Amino acid sequence: MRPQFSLGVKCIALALAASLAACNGGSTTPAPSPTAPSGNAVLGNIVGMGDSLTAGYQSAGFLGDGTMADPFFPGLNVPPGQESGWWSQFYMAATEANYAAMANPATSVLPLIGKPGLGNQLVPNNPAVTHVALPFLPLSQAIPGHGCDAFGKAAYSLSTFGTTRLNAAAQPKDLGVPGITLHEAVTMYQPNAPTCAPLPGPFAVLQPLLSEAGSFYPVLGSYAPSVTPLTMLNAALAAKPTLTTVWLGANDVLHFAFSGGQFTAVDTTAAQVTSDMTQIISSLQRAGSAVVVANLPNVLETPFFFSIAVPSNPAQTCPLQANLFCLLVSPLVGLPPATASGIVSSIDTQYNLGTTGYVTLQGVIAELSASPQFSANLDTLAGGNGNGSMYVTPALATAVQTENDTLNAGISAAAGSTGAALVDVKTVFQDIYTGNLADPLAAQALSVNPGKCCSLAFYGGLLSFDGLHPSNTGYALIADLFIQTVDAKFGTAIAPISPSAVYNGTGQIPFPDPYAQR
Amino acid sequence: MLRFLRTCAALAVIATLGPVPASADPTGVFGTAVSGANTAIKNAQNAPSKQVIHLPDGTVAQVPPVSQQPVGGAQAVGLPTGFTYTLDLSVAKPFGNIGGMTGWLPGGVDAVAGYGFNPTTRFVANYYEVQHYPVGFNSGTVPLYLQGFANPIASVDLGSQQPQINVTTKDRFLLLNFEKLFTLGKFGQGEKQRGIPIVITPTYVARWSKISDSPSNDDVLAFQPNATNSFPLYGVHTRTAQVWSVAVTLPFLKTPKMFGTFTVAPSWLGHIAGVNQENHAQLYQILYLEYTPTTSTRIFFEPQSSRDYLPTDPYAQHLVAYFLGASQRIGKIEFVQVVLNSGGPTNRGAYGVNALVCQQLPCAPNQVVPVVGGLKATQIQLQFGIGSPSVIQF
Repeated sequence: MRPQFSLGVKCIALALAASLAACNGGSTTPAPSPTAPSGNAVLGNIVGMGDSLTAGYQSAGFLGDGTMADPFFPGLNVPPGQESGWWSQFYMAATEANYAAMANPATSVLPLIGKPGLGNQLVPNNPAVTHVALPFLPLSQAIPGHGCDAFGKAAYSLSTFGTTRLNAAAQPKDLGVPGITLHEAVTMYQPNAPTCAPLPGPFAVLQPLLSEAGSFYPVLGSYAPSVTPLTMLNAALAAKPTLTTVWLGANDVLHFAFSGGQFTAVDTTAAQVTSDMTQIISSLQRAGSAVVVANLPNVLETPFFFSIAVPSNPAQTCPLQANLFCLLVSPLVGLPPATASGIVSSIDTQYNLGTTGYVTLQGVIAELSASPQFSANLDTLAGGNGNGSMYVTPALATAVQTENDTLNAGISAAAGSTGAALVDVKTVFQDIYTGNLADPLAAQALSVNPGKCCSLAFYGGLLSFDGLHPSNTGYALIADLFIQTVDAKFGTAIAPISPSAVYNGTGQIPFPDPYAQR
Repeated sequence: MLRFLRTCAALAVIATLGPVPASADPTGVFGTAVSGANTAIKNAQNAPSKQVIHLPDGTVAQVPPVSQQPVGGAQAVGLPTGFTYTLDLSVAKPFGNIGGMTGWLPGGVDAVAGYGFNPTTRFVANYYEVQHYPVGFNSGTVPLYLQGFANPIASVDLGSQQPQINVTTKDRFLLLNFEKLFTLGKFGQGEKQRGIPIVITPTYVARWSKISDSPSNDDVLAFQPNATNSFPLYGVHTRTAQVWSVAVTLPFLKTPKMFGTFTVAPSWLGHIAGVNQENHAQLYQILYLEYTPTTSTRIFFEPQSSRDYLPTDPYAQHLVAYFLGASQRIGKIEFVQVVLNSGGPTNRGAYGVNALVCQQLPCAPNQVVPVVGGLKATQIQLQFGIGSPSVIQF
């Protein structure tokens, strides 16, 4: 039976729109780090710089409170993402802290966000419809105004941000600010929008790209006023780290993509990327910190972007990759292949997507929610031009990939010139995307629960419902990759993390992964 | 999604322009004339040779900046001795693309007091005011950036801002000079034997300013060094600095009616401030040419390459400027002077306001900060003054 999408599903698109940008995001002479510790001493004080990925953003929400009841799933609490993020898992493994300590406001090094959380989290839906429809709904459907209610607005002020935190007085060590770009980690010193309320005039169009404004003070506010100007880098330096993880740049790519190529962050050239990243690394090294940086996966290979090309071998492609045809013929939608091909062809023709374009998760939801289904005008829904937010044309896809590659080139160059450790996230994700079992980590991910977890297919278990932020299992894989890199570079002996154990709830996180099928 | 960026530039978010600082001046710290040194050198050259022979060997002293005023002392052997003074009042008329500004800039005051211990040693305290109204601060169209964005989100016509920003600037200088005259070598025979007079002038300069739009009635104004790669700075005295210098002035021309010197002045900031984070020595160079058609009239031309290293400058500004003026002595102690001067930095790109940076949407007036380039100004200045006869004689 073909699933019917309720009106509520339409709200998902809005929730995603508000959360899309909430992801991770001058020449400087590299400085040696004569005082940087080595061995396990490097783990004495770990600090994380980054964006939503480092923050533990999940399923379009930023939440650390584990007591938020899921309004759509009686008896289940909304999964708190912060404690399950890769940085939290890495910290637990490196310091032998446990989940309870990370979730306890009195002991946590995370900026624990209270309920109902920031953003508009997509939370598990009633089990009766799980696996036959999109298995989630946005919290705003149950909490009118959620995302920009009094709780959300309080995040924009230094005097009120504390109400969003369970541990407002604590200076966190996880400094990941959802939505922030690489350059903003050096230069952003206040929210770039004063409120989440709609902005007047033409600036309203920019608002979806300013999600970092709503998380800036909740993460960094407790470093004010002693840190001036209040930037992420300055806060990290104030924390006097012995090891700093730096994972930035994804928002540079995503903002560019979501704006149809019109918005560019400052880091548009490899030289500028290298300059900014080198400034971060060198500053930390001069302060005595070892530094580990990570490159970026290809964002177009995440299950937020559904390839428009009908695969020549669906049995091989569909379990691995997000593809519109694969989604339509999957149990989630359940269309016959011929019907699915017709719909794909129609959308392809309507928006000139060729064989290398994409439909975004927002576009997919809009088409599924339309009445009749697949009759949505993605341009009209996006205010006149859906390129970027609803679909991605081949030209834009090429430009996005170029920006993605530029950032990775700059990050790699900065790591090379400064001696920082480099975590190769890109290669592992690409190997998962292509099913390269020769890569041990890719093989480990794909074998967690073959056919259900974990791949980069939509609802493939590696990423959460928003298609951009990892699930608990996906974050475990990333944390393990960081551990391997840190161990190899600095001679530490951090216990590895098992993605399978995290998937099953038998590892550091004491509950099964809520974002993965089983 | 962001189509408006292409189409709404004309809507130009009317971000009320806040006060803006001037980041350089057309005259530089040593922009006024090098009259003290010139006086000493001229006097030394005019003096009978046997008197000059009695001068000690070495170098000559003169401290730029000294105001461009009638100076002289034809009867003196070297530097004026005893107590001397000049005092003048001035008005200035600015020119160039200065937007809605019209009229004269009033209220300049210059005062100089010196004491010469002997013809080779003199101490001088100088106070100068230089009025100007720079170009490009309330005229033209500039891009509007949102902090953190690489591309402009709109453009703003500075000329349409109401009220027009008022960047009337009055720079004030206090200089303390210790002038020392030396002669180098001995040339010629008998009565014609002469040395080369030079002046060395260790100098301390303190400068500050008043900009009309400064809310604190001084030179404190918000600015951002770069549209996309910096923070705004609030509370910085944008045109306040202290400079140490040692100027060396050498003659190169002397005829009955013509006179010329060249001054070089290595200089250092007293301390760094604002965005200037380095204190490399800067070299000022000043050429001075004078024509005296009568005993009471002087015409002078003074091109110079000087430096400004103000708190708004991440690196020193290379200022190219010139002064063209005429002085007329109208009494025993009274004089008038008219000076046309113009200049601006050659290494700071566009002049005036280069861009506006919206720190936070929706660009409330107090959240818009300018990015300022070089300060270029051109004005004609009229001075009416008095002075000791020994220093206003030609």
